[in-house]
Amino acid sequence: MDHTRRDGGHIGSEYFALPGSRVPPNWKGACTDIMPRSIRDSAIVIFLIAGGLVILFSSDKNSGGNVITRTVYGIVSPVQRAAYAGYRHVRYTWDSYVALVGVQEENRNLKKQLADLKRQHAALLAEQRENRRLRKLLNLKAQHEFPSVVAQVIGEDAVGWHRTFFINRGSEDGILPFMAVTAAEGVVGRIAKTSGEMSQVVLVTDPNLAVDCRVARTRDRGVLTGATENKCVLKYLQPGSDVRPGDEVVTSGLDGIFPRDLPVGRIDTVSQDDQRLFLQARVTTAVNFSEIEEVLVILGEQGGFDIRSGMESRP
Amino acid sequence: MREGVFLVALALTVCLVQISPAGSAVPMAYKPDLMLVAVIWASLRTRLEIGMAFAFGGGMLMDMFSGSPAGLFVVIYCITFVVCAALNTTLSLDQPSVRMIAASMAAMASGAVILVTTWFSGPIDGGFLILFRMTGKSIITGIACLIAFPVLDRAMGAFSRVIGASQ
Repeated sequence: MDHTRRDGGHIGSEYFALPGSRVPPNWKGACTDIMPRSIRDSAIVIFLIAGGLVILFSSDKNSGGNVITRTVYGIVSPVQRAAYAGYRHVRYTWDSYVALVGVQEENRNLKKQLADLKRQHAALLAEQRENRRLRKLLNLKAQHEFPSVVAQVIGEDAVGWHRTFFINRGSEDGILPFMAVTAAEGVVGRIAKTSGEMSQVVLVTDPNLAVDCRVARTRDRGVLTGATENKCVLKYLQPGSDVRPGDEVVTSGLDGIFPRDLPVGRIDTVSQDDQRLFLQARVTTAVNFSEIEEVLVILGEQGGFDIRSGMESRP
Repeated sequence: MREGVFLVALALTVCLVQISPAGSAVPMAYKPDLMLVAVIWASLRTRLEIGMAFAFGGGMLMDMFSGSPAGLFVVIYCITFVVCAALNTTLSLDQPSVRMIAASMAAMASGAVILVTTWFSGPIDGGFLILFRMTGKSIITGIACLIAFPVLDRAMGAFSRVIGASQ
């Protein structure tokens, strides 16, 4: 690039020259005749610095602004207001419309996150409940002296006329018909049918099932049969027995299916039977069958709590 | 043959729906007897031999998956099939209201039979409540019949289109 002017001088050399530098002879600057270039530049620098210092030390801090300031403000103010209004307008437009695209996306993400968290929360609660139930069953299992299998309820009676449900354990797990099924709260029923991986359980509330029971307080014996939902009838109680509402009913262990002293339920009412030969009591079961999800199947034959006639239970 | 395949699939599906807890949108005591509904449907839509086989098989399945004595539902469903097929020749059962009444009556009758057979094993305590539940269950079965028939008709139509006509 050629920095040489047509007259032979360098471009820009009319504005600034170092002290001692040579000024071209053909240059026609206005100041060159009065003072050398270097002195002029130094004077400008000093003048401006000095002016700044004068303004700095002479200005009154408490004054509301001098004429120059006010004038400049007066000129700048409308432009600045207009610029600010424009900025606000643009900002409002951005926030209200353009940025909403992001907000909508963010909102969608947050909703998704919320749904995920809710799902996780529900899953955790379900696991917590399951954990509590299994802990109860584990305690029950530890209390029993015989082997048992924990099973999950996977289905219910096909037609609903009878009180049965299905569990996910079968003969492959050592389950056989007539084995006792219990829960943490008490007796559930007994195994009716089994296949390799599934079994049918008849509940104590089914009229087809009879369990030999005792009233825990008086030790009176009776036969418990199903009546209605969550209700049973304890039959053949001796007429003179002191059975009262609120008494706990437990298994006697004499039927060879259920171990003794497993809770069955509590007596609601006591009355005489139709023939007036025995007393009978309505019993509310300890287990709520509509909420049951896991059960414990007592492997009677393997456990050896088989009760021979005349023996109530093994010590 | 193809009709038979459809009915086998139907029996298995109904059985699965009946035993799964998902099928118990209503309380267990009022659960509709969908197999009975399917048997009534079969009595109006299929040939006698295939329909009877379906009623027999469906009854076997229900006996297996309920607490009833083996063979009880076989008898109930076979009788229901025959009665409905016979009634359909004189009365037109293929109207929604008549179908609903027929299904309710059949459910009531089957409930009564089950009650009697259960009674043999021992007196049942319950009285009016049992009657109330039987009636409720029968009505719900009748209502289920109203919904199930169009569904089954469409399913059968779709199956015929995909597999081909039974003839």
